[in-house]
Amino acid sequence: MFRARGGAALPTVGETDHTLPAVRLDNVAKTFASGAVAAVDYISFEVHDGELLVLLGPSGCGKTTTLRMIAGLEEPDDGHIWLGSRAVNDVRRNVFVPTEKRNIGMVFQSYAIWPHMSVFDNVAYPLKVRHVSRGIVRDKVERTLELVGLHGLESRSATQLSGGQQQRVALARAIVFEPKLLLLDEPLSNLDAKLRIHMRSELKHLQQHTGITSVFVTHDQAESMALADRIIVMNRGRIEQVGTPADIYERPRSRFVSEFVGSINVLPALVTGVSGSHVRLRQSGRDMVCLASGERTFADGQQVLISIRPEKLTFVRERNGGQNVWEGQVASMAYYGDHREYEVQVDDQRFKVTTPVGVAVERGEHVLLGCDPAEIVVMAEV
Amino acid sequence: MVATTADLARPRVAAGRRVRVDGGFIAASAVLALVAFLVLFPLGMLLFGSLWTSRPGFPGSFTLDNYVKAYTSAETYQVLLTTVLLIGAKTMLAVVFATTLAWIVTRTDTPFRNALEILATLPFFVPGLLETIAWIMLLSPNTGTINVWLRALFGLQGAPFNVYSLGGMIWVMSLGSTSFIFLLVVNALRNMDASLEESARASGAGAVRVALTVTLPLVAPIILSAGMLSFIRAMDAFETPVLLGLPAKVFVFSNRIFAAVQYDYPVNYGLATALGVSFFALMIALIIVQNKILKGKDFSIVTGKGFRPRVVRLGRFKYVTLAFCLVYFVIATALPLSQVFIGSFLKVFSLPRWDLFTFDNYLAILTDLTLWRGLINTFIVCGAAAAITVLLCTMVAYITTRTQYIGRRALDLISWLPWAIPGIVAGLGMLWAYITLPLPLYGTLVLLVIVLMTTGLPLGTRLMSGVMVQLGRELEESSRVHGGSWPYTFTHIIAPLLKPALAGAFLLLFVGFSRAVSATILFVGPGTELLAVTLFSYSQAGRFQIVSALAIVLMVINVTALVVARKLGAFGESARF
Repeated sequence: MFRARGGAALPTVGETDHTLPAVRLDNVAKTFASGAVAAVDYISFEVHDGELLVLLGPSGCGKTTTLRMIAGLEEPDDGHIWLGSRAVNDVRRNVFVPTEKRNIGMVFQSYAIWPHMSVFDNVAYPLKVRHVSRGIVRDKVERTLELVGLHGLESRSATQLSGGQQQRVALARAIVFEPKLLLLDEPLSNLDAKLRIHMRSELKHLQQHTGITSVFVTHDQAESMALADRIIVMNRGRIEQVGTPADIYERPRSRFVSEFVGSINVLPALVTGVSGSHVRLRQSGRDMVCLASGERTFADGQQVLISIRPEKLTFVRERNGGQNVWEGQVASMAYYGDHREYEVQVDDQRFKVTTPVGVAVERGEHVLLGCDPAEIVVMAEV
Repeated sequence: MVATTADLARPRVAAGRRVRVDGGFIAASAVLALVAFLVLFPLGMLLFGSLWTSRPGFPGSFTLDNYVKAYTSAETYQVLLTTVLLIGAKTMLAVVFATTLAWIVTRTDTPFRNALEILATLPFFVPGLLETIAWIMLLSPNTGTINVWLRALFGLQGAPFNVYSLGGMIWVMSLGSTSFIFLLVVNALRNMDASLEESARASGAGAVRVALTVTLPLVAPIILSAGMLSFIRAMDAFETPVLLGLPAKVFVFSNRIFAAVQYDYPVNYGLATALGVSFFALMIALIIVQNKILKGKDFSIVTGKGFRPRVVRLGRFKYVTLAFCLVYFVIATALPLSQVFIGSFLKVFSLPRWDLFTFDNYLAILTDLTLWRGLINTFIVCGAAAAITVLLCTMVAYITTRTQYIGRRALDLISWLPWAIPGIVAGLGMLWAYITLPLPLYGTLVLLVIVLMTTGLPLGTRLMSGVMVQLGRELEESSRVHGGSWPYTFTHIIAPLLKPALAGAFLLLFVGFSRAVSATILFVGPGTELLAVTLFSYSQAGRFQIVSALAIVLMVINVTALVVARKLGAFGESARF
């Protein structure tokens, strides 16, 4: 057995090559001794240089385990992980670069601010372990504290800080030594709702300002939408979908993704005809038309699932001979100040509909529901 | 490694990783090796000794004779029966007392219940040895104070009470156990979520109904587990069975093994080791039963938000409960302590009389060189043993709670094992083990340190892992991620954060070690006296006055140390025991 500190470099690619992903996982798997189910089940993905990638999923989906494996806090049971050109995990060759040699900044869910140290000492820690000279440490810590808005709190004991301030100290500590990669493990989940939204935008701003490659773990889909350049949706240790926030929201690939991200109507349907980009469907006695996105092809007679976002459904006045218009009865209405949410019964199917506040319809009224063919997403899975 | 085709195929999950030999692996293996040596070597030698025809270190051959003799002798079954009878009876008595007292001080409007609670916990701080000699002085058949008084009062002929009997042992041991069980149950009752009871009241149930249908079922597991814990710990009791049982020839495991080694002629190592192994097996069986019954239930199940629960109004009956507590206090604490106190000022063991008053016992302490050597040795040996044990146990706790080290379960189990080995059996095993080593260990203080360390492993490990679990994992991880190696992280993050807990654990272990008798008694000799063992030997020799005098001095020191330890927070997890 041997232990490679640096790991083997990828052949033909130099350290400074910017086409190289900042992080690359290849067939990484992890099962915890306690559970028979794989926490992470042979996943592969890349993090591009300078982007903010969000790992999104429900608790237990493997997102935190994935992040911790990148950090070197968990060891994968199989697979490779590269940071730039450096192989930090190569399980079959028994290569494991210990956490402290990976040069990563990380913000923990609990902040992990050391209570026996001052704010200054907390932030200076990564520099001190790297034997940076005293003057430079002072300089860098002050600049970083200023960047996160904690200027003047250097000598404060870490235990005297509010949640939001601890959050900023944790962030300052993670970026003070200018690491190549920043990992954030649900960093906002312990803050109250208002502060969470505020810190979210500050974080986004800071990431764009510094250009640091970041991987952000969260179970909050709104947070992921607001922050991410790209989102990876995970479920049961596997990757469900990778894409921009718009991709994920508008073109979900699976029932899981569509239902996890926002509210949605998911219905089974049968393909009755395909002509060009138009797919004809039959759903519970109703005919529908939708525009396929092009990546996928469907065949006549295929069973599919379709999904429609509630805000894509509208109340229309008359049929106008148009496609995708169904008659139903309003079953419930809820007023939210900036929008209304309806439930409309169409035969045996109940649709969720979101409308602007101006659209007011009484419970029990008969309405016509309409939907643009481009807004109906067909998913292959049944 | 050459990758075969099978390797390249998608393997089953968790297939790939191998053990990596790095610094952490080597350090953890060294800790495992040390702990295994300390625990398994003596245990192995005990087993070996029980299968050997002659004495430790002497030529002989393998034999089953020791077991055959032990198990064909009616005496062995008598010992087993007496042990179960003694411990069972004293536990029942203690559970009834403790639960009643705990309910009175936490759940009723009995006057002065805060003061009563403190009074009820006092016996916990009185060493078993002291409790025993106090009751000898009170209830010994000829000269015991109570017996003498009762004889004078009612003109009786014989002695109404005889402390040298099974009943005497049950009585004395139950008093110590009561305060132990009381401490556990009182905390559970106090921390119990008041809303559980209040919602029952709100649903229309009366006070008695609530007590029977909500309170009792909720605390029943705690009472049960406290009782079982007390039962199992009492198997290990040594001083009381030797001092009260041996004169009356009432044999239980611990005093029979001791007698076989110390008083049987010729020394009966065969019987001692055979009984020792059986005793150990019995302990393991009991602990397995305990775990089966409790199944993960622990003392925390009913803890709530810590609101002071509402109390039951007892009306006039509250003076009855007050009287009950006071009588208990007088019998369990005031009577024996004042007997010890008075005894320490008497020339001879007798009724208090002014003409027998003397300071000689306290003066004798000053001039008794054996005691002074014992005291100095106690500080050196217990101090060193506690310090090393804390360090070793911190490592063990770290490895078992924080790492993926391949042998961590084995390490956890082995470091727990001494918990199941009664002190006298452990002493016997270590005697066999270290006498056969070609090292001049026997008769040195170093060996005493090793002996105490071994017995302190379970407590030390449990204390430190309790603390380790409370210490957020991310505090350490965030140091590692940001560039701190493990040694750097340990010295800069973990150790500073654990400092109060380390100090608290040191004190607890020190106090425990300084009281130890059963494990160390086979190792002391001229020059290696330990105070606790000397006190025990003096008690055996009937020198109760000097023991009383010194015990009073020691008790003051002990209580101070425990209070300091409590302040330092070392009791955080001690309720797990």
